[in-house]
Amino acid sequence: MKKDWRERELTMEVIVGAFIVMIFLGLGYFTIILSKETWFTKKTEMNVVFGNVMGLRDGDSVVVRGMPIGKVKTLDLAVNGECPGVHVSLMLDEPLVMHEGYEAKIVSTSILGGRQLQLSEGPADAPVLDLDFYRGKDPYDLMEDAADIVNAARTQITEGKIFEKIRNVVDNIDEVVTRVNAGKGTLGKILSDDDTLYSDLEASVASVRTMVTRVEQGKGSIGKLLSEDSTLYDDFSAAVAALKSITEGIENGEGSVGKFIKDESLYSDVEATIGEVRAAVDDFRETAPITTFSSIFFGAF
Amino acid sequence: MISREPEFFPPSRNMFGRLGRSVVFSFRETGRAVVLLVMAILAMRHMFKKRSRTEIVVQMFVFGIKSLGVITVVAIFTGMILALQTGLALRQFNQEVNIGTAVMVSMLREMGPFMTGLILAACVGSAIAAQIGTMVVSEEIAALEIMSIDPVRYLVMPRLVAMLIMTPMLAFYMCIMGVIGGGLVGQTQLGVSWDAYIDNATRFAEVKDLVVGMFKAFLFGGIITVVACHQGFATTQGAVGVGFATRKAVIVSFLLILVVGYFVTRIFYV
Repeated sequence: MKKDWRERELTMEVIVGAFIVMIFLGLGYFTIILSKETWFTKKTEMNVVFGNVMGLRDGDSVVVRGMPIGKVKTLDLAVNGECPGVHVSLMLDEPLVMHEGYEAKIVSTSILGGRQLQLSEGPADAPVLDLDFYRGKDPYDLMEDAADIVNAARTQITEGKIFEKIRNVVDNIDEVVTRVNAGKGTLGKILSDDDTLYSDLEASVASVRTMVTRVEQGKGSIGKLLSEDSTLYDDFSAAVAALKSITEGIENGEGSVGKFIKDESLYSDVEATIGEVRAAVDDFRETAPITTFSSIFFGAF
Repeated sequence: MISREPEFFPPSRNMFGRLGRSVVFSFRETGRAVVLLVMAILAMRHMFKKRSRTEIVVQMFVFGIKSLGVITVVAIFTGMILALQTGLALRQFNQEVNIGTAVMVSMLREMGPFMTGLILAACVGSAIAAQIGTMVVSEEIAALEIMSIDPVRYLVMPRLVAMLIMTPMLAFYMCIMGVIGGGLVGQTQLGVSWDAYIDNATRFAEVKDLVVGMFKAFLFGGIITVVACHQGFATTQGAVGVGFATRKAVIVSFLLILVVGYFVTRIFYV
């Protein structure tokens, strides 16, 4: 009987012990996971000074090129000293080499809130910096921007006379509508009860339609040209071919015109001949009165 | 002295008399419960002695291991309900992947310790009250005192230690089961993959949530034991009194769990 009790007691102890060990292991594992600590990697510390941290908190992520590489360790407000502002100490999982032109800024992770610190190392070819404190840019506050936009809109509405301008536009539109209703202007005449302009427009459209119908039927020069009966087109084509043949002949120096254009000696001869003819004509002009007078004078005898 | 001598009070003649008497009695009962707690804490110096150790392990087995079945079922369905309700609401914004966070944080901060407290108050607290109440009405407690056996050290301290150890552990177990239940609903009903669910669940929960949740459960364990033991020792009027003590132990435990749960949340999160 006593042995049975001892066995039961031992069983209970083993079960309770196993349960407790299991729960402690789970608690330990959970604690490691929830703390998001990477205990077995070497950490690097970096300090950034901001003028305003916009609600950044310790434990917020530090992101480089969109990848989380550490988190915010502490935030200290330094009112005085050589570097006044909010000193943010970062714990990075891997060392980060900062170059001139680096950037450190605080951004919102979502529209509902939450912040993270974004780091950019700067151009790779720029000189490397090794500073005690890096300077961070003041955060970009979406809500503040929205408030500025609303204020600007309000100022424009109240002081920029937007309502007055809108009222003027409406007045102008009203005036246009009144003129149209009164049948004034082209649009008014079209829309008015007096349908003269409309009739003219209709007649013009009818004329255009008639013309298009004639063209479609192959009537007139354009119609014949576009009709399926290709006689005119063939004639036109033959004429173009003949013209092309003549042009080619001229181009090749064939015929009188071709030779005249292509043969430079012929051109020179013609030019010389023309010169001589011009000289002969001039001589004849100078001698003509004398010749005429001589003919008349001697003709009398 | 734990055993109480029978008391007789003449009936009050008017409403104010009855009200005043009930106020004074409730203060007295509260004081007795606190005295019982202090005596149990003082008796903890004997907890590593062989007899006490054995008794503590037995109570841990009875309170903890034997409650695992009901706690598992309650936890899994609590997690499933949480995941389904929040998932359906978040689905309207295409954010159902975030159910992991909702289930994990709810279970760690509140639902795990709270549901564990309620289950233990109903299962264990009532059993303690009934057991001690029966011992009182059958005068076993008086017999123990006559034999110079301290009933607090013999009955209360092992139960208190067992509950103080087991309640946080059961609460943690409940959180794990609840998260698993939420994941099942996420995968089967809401189309959230297991990896995304777990990644989301662990991303936003913090160690503080776990620690505060376990601290709450620790307090709940103490409350349940002290209330149940106190109600058991205060049992009068035979079997009817045992039933009354049991019912009262459960009701008072429930109320104290709710009130203390609120104040712990208020202290740590506001």
